[in-house]
Amino acid sequence: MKIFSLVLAALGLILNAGSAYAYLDPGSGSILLQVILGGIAGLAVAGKLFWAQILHFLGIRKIETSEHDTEPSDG
Amino acid sequence: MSLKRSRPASRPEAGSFRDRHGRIVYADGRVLRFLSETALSHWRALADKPFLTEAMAAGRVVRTEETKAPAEAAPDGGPWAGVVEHERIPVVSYPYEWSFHMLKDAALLTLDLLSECLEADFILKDGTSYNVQFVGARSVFIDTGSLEPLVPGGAWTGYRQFCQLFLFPLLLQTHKGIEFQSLLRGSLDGPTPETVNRYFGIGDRFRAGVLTHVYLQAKLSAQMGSTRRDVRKDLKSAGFNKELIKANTKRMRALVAKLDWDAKASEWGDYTDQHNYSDADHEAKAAFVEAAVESSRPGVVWDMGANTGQFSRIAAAHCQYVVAADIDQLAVDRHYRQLKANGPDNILPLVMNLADPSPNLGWRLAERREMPHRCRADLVLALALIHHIVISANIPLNEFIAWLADLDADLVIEFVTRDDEQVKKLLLNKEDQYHDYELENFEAQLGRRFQAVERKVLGSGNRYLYYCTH
Repeated sequence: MKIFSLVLAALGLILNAGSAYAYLDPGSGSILLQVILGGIAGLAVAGKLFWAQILHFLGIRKIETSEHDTEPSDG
Repeated sequence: MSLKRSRPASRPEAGSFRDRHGRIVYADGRVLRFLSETALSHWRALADKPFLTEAMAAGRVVRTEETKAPAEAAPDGGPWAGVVEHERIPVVSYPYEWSFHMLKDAALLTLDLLSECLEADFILKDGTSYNVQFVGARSVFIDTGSLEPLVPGGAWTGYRQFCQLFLFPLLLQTHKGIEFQSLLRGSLDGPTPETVNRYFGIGDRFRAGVLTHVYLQAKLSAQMGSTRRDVRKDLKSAGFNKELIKANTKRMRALVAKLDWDAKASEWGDYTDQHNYSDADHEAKAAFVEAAVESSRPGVVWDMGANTGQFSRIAAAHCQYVVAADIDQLAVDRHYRQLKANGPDNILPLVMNLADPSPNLGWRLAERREMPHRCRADLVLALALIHHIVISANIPLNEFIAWLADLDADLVIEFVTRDDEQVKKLLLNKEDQYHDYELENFEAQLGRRFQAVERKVLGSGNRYLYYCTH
């Protein structure tokens, strides 16, 4: 399971390397880690998450923005 | 339990403002939580859930019920749609005053509550150790405002905070023997993954919890710090679900449960087992303390330098509540575990250095308060303490007595003469600049500020006990 976690983490690091955006969101890494720690249950989620990233990385698909997200935020 | 000498009739808790949906106010001895419309709807959805009523009945969550409050008690920051009232915590304490097993038990309580929440489709919106208090040795979750309905697809937003304020301090003490109190006191948010990662060497990465929660989190946080992605939305669309949070919570609980502090014998942790005075002296001292407490009839007793609580237990039989503070974490930890196993339930053990006590901290220096602001003592026990304050900590004797007098409480104090083996040991490798450390000076200083009621010399002739009123 540790190898699985490391592979996912490495994938996450590669896909995000070089992104040069200014907005700081220090919790994002911690949220993403919860997928990596999810083991088997996290596998499907991680797969979908990173597949979208790969498509984006290859220029095949744009990442959806949150413009249409009307979910209230009261955290 | 109400404490004597309360402050103005209504005052907002200065440490309760970050969550805009609720604000704590103390009004006429009551603890009121004013709620926004959203928070009130969450509370009403939550109030009759069996997991919550059971947790309240068991004393794991502070007893809370919806109530009415006078309009003038309402704090700034409204509009407020409703009010709940919490059972009062006798004395508020902070994680940097807890011993290892206190923080560990608070962490387990938080994780257990999170698991129970998830079963009922609720979640904790944060993961801070300041949401837990101790009533005696019983940990109690106090922030009912932290419980909110689970939004499908979301991760646990409190995870990073849980790491910084529970897991990392426990990991550092378990794996590296670094006592966490100064780290938590140094930063109210706790140490970040990046900071904690620097404490652990490469060889430590394979110790329980370090590779994932510390190393990977530090690396991912550094990488993701510059992301513009809405990770929460990405997770939702990728199918993140409650089962994942439950699985992670279960794993986290198993990790925390196996963390332990392998402490060697501390300076004071075994002190009561090897005190250097006779059993007869010991019995005489216990009888003196008991008579003084019975005479003083205090609500709250501070036992300073309490060690493993031998005299705290005597006091606890004759008062409402005892705060048993000691500089030595191992002694406090042993005391805590004894209390948890055998009671009594009205002693709060805390780690505290009187020469460097908990200060006012946080926003406007008012979020976390010094102990005298949180709790006024009616009687102070300072037994076998003064030589450590004057000789070890270099506090002038008259300063110490003046500080005790400022507490405005009755006092039981023990003077240990220079002939005592402990005092000789303390002076062994120090320049003896302590000309003020003499019985005559001590009695003169005490007489200036207190009224001596009773004085007793123990049989050895090296120890003098005083019961004084203020």
